[in-house]
Amino acid sequence: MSVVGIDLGTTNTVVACVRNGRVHVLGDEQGRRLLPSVVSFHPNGDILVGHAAKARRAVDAKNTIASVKRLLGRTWNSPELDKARARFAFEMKDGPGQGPLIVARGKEYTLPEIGAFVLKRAREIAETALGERVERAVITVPAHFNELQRAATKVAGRVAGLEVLRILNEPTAAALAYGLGKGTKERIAIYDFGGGTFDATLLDLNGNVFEVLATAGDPFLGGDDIDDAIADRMADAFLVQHRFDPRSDLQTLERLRQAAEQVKMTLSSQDQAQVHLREIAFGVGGAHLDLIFGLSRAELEKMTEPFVERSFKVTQDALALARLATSEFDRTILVGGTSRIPLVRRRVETFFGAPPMDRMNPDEVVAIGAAIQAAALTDAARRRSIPPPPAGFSVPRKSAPSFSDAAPQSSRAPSSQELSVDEDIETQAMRRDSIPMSSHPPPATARGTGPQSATPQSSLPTSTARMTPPPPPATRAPSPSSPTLPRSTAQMPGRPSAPSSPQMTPASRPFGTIEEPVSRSFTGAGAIPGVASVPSPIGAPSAPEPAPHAVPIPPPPPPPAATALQQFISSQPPPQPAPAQYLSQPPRPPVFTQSMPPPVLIDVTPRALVVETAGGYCDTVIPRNAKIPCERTRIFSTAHDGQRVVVVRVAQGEEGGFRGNTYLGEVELSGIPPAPRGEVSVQVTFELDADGTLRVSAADPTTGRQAMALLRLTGIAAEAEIASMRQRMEHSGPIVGG
Amino acid sequence: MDREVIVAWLQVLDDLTYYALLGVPRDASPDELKHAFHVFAQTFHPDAHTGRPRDEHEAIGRIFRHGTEGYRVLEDPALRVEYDESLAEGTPASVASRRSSLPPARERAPGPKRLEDTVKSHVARPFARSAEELAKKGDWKQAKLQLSLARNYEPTNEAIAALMREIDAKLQGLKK
Repeated sequence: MSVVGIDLGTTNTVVACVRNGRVHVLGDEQGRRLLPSVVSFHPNGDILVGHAAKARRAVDAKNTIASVKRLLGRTWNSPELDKARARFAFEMKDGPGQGPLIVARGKEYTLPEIGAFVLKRAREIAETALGERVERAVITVPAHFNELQRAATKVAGRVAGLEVLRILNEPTAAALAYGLGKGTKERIAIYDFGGGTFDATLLDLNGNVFEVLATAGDPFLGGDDIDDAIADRMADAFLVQHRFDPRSDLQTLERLRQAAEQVKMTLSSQDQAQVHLREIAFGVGGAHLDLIFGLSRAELEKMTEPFVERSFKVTQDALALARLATSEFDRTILVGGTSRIPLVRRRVETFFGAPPMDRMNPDEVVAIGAAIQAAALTDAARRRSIPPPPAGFSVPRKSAPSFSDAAPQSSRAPSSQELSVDEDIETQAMRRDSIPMSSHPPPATARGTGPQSATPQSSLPTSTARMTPPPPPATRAPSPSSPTLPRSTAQMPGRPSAPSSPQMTPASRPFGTIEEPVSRSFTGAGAIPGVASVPSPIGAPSAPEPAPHAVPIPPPPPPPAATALQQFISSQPPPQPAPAQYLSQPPRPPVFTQSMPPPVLIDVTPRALVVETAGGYCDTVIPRNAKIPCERTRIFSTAHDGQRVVVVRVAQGEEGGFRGNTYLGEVELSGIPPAPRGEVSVQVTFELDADGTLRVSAADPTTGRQAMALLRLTGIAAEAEIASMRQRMEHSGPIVGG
Repeated sequence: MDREVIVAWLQVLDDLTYYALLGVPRDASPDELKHAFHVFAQTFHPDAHTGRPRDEHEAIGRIFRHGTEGYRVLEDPALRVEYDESLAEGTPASVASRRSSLPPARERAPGPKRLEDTVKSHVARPFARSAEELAKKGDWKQAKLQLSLARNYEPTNEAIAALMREIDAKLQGLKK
């Protein structure tokens, strides 16, 4: 069983897979590696996906759905839906609670279902190419996607029968494809101009660590906009000539758009382009009127300029967030089909002062990165050893924690008496009514409660863990000027004498015992996935100077991850006799080598996560651009005397007013002891995982009562609905590719 | 073995200064800090531990999340100064990052539903609230004024309409 990376694009979808340490972009039966993200419902009942569906756009726009990615996770009243209604010929209606529905040939489909048709076809392509089942995938999304859009994409994957291992940001995937295996230290700008969206992402690459510094995006800026501009000009020309506006008919407009896309693409390699569209309209006596339209590259560039300008505004925004200047970047990487436009390349070069990387295929680089991440995440042997914590460098605290205190709350099995995890607000509310307050046991997470109050741990007995003597009690942190202040360098005594057993060394050793990435970088092969090149020799001239680090990180023992990786590679199934012609040609150089550990991605959240406060305002809990995974707690208080319940309403965005942001959902905490307003404090904790999936909990520190929930996101299908969509998908008949 | 180490980390986690957590000296330069964070990430990023049991994986995630918060604070010069001051004062680190007291979260009072709670518009809500309070006091005229302001924002709100009918009836009664 293979795992794949899928780039579900606005225009095209690409699927890739790591096999025997090499990345392959998988082609369909005809070797085509770009799958148009188009679904068409044929009168004969077939569901067409891909090239065949794209061809139907020009003749059956009403039942042909394109650019569904733009709509995923959007609500009926969103501006994006307004735009889509004006733009697309297919019919949409407001659905009951699951977001908009698309109506085609008398049937209704949710947006994730439409996305799932594309993903299912991508999965089929992969299964044919690999000759085995594909059940798990990493799916990429634009970096600026909000929680709802990410969740909807995940639902689409699940409806397509895929376990979604990770929702990965497209620019980060591109960086991974570019940087993994290089072992270098570089500052990279990713300029991702796709069919529907634009993202600028800035990263630091340091060996196998990819740290996203900032990201900014524009959800309404893509190659489609350029097509529309060209189509508009075509329509204007036709209107002047024949006094008929082709825009009055959505079907005709769709034809113009397709022609416009062709013109745009032609002008990337040529100076002039001309199209001849037959029978746009009918004139006197039924004579058909054709549209003949020519455009020069210079004219196109003039039309494209405003869009390119906007992309640099967004890029500036990202630079400001990271507090960096363009001159501080070592490399610019172009991603997305729109970045093929010569004007875009020139402008990027001017902006960053250096020519962008052009050795990678901008259409495929994201899927390649997704495949790499998919392989890394399924490496079952990944367990880095953890060195003991530093002792005696801490801030004061009232009481020593117990193991139950330390145990992550989410690992506790929800007991029937707790406000539990993963439940609908309705259920919680019901519980609140049905269970008397007094029946709640003191929660295990309250400070100072003994381990016995903890609900049973999952697999391991807690007693084993409790036998470990805790490190010496925390000492008070001295003031910075105090001579007794221990310098961190003092925490870093020698490396363990036996490099083969790095785990258990004297407790004073800090965690810095893993292989130092920079020093290794010079031995790393300079393999760049996506480019058919031989790994560069050791000490390639492109290798940068080592990082300045005054902190003496002890030279490491052999990295456990490398061993793990070896196991990972060897645990891969032996090469199936897959039809070789489906695998990408030429095969790419290995991405995983034995000397190179799997990547560590530290991404950021694109938008702030906020809580509604009295008066319709909001307070940021997790700021925009925070590194993930992360966790932040803020303390709120009650608004009214004797208030027993607080509702924590959560939204995403940077607007000061709550309603200006994207509403996500709410969590309720009940059973607050009556007290004058402002005297009760409520701890609200947001936890964002590496997917960007949010978990919200609210706790009353005085009683220890806790409400915890994965936000039931508004408009996102519940488990039961996903299951029924999946059933429908399985019985929807064959998907016709071609 | 590892499990015990993880437990040891969890036990001291809330007590560690961000400097100790990331393993940098108090005067670490931005470059040193970044490097230390990368080393920290290689050790504690949950993705580097996918092969572990679920509870261990979550525990490591918790350590890592502390690290990202610590890095966020130390990376930002202003936040770092603030943090250093809080350390000098002996304020626990974990509280230092969340000490700001915030306006109260919007509540939904239990018991009889208030008019305010039926109002979706934030602008209209204060009007609805004062209308209800005034009505309780028997100040029907003022209540009607406030309520009509609320109704401007939510003409279809049934609860507003009902109160309006009630107030109108009272005013009629007063006239008589």
